[in-house]
Amino acid sequence: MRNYPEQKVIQAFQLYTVLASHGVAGEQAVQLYKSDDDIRGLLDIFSREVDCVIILTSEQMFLVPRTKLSPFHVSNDWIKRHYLRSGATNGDLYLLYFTVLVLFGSFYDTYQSQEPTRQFLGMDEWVHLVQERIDQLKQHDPDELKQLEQEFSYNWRLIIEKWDAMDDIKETAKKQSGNTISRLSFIDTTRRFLIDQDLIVDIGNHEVALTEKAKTIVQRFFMEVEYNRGIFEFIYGFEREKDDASDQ
Amino acid sequence: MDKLELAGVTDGYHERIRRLALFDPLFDLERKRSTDLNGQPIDMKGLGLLALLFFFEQKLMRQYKTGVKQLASFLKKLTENVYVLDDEMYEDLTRTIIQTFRPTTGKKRSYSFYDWEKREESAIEYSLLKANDFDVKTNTQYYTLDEDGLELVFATKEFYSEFQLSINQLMLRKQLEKGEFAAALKQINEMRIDVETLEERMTRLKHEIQRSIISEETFERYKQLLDDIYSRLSREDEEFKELREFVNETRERLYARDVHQKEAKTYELVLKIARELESVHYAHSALLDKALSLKNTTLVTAQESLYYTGLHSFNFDQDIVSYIVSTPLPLEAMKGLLHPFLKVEENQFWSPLAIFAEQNITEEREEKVGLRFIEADDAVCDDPYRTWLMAKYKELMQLFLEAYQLGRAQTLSAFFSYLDDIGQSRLYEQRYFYDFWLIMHQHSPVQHGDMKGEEGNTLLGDALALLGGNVLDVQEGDRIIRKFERFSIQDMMITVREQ
Repeated sequence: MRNYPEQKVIQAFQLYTVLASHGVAGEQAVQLYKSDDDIRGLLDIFSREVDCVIILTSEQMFLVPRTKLSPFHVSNDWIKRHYLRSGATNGDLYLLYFTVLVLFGSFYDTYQSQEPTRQFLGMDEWVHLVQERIDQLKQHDPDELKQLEQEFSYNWRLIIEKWDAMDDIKETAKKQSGNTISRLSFIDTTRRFLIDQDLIVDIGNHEVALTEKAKTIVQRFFMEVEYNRGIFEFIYGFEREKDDASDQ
Repeated sequence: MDKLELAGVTDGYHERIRRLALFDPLFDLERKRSTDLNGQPIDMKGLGLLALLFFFEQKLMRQYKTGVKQLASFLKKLTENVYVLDDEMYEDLTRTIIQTFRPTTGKKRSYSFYDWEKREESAIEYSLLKANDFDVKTNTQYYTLDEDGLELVFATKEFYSEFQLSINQLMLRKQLEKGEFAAALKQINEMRIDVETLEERMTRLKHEIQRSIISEETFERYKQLLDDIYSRLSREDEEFKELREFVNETRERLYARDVHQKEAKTYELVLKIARELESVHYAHSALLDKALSLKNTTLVTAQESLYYTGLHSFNFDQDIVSYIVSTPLPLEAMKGLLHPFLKVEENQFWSPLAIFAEQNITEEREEKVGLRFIEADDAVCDDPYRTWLMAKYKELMQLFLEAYQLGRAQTLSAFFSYLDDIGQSRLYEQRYFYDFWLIMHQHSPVQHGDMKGEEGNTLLGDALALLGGNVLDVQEGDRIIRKFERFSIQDMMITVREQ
């Protein structure tokens, strides 16, 4: 490993702390990263140590956690504590993940273009899209799902049941947000989580749109060949494990 | 015409179709058969176009809070004498129009066709109307014309938005020459919209360049595009400078002919034109700067990203969501896939050393209660405590004036002993007694009616009325009086003098 001057190490660390707490740094940081080899090297090392990569645009710099299960990334508990109601279970959490995936899928659902295909997503439409995916899940053989559950953490039935148990809206509640238990209020929880993470913005009339940050991450991370390969290795990796299990 | 240039004929087919496609929503509207209360068919296409023009006009007037309500009342005003409709129907009608221009699913409107130039299936996405702002309280969304919407409005006026600014500049010059100043002002407002649209387009372009992973080919395209924009902007800038010159000349000419006295209104209009033109020009030159920096910085970054290799076919929905659902993958896979979007976990730790840090010892209350004297609040006029307090203050003042007449209240300590003598010692065992003197001291010299709007007016009003035309003067003494164990107060010299 190279020897870095102490001053550079400090400077790089300062920059890293900004990235670690906000996930993003401004134009000056970009300039520094580009012009100073030492800083760039150090930052790359730092971020690799916490399983992240650095993604640049000409004005912003993002610290993006890599696609893998890493102890450095946000833990289930952390999300539960900060965004879900008290007493939330893993089922709630995974349903949250699921709805988020559906959201991004709805914006990027074409091979033709790298740009999002929609400008905004309404909450009703979102619930509807989640329902579609849940219906697809239901088409798996229940026995097979049950079997998978025993082998691994394939607890999809938990999610299906969680979703099915909720009404579309709680008619007795005045506001469809917060603690009432309904699909719309669950989606509202997800919405607040994503807004807090600076991934979507509320544009009123129960509609949300993607932020520049979200678009950058999809286009510069998910669509970048090297990282994209990592993503596919990650998801196909699970399949191999399944094959192995069935071979035995 | 023996040899028909095939390539020449189909050149720019995509763009041409695009312009045609923009009219699609209007025809969609035409197919909606709505009737009014008398069964008379409503001209939906016409109303659709009117709606676009309405949004255009709102944009001209820089009125950004335009929602369903505003459009409905506009349509109502316009068609009241033609159709018989109630308010609710107008609102429905308006919603139909807005939803046709801006589908509620969030998907952009798209138009698929066969591209005869490239000989392949192709699709165009466009957006006429976009959400502009919203009001949380009333849950109202406001809309404004999107780029394609403007294009459509312009297309109905026979020229294209790209040259809009130049055309506006030309028109402005002609109007100034002819002396049509009111029209010229409107022209300037249109130019302002052009500049705003350009600005929006450049911001979008910038984001697009930053996000996209660029191939050599697209890089060349962006470069060409930015060069074009830059040269067009500088041409327009030249024209602006000339226009400014021209307006100034016009102004001076009018001034020389004493128009500013004979036709003050016209002259004012010209002054306004000069001012508005200046501000549009300013906004435009900011764009020129922006274009230059876009060329220099953004393109450079984009060029760097040529080292990366981007995927042209990635479909989040298919490749990731569908895959997870159909396989299915373990739940954890979702977590891993979403991590890139999230921040790194941030935990706050509590250090035991924190107890040595500066502590916040004030109680947590809804409102901050500072150190201050009792203040009156108009909102609580009928508070029984207040009424009681007012009576007590009045009683105190009365006792004091009696004592003063007897020469037993030149100082506060003398007043204390006077109270002892007349058997009213319980008075100074009360908190309000001390408050009274503190307020008096604070406002000294006091007279009836000079504390208007403050506590004196209401809380002390009755007490001060007893003073009549006299002035009460209170100066602090040097002793501290401790007659009652719970309270102490500094001695005061009190004089009542005539005004």
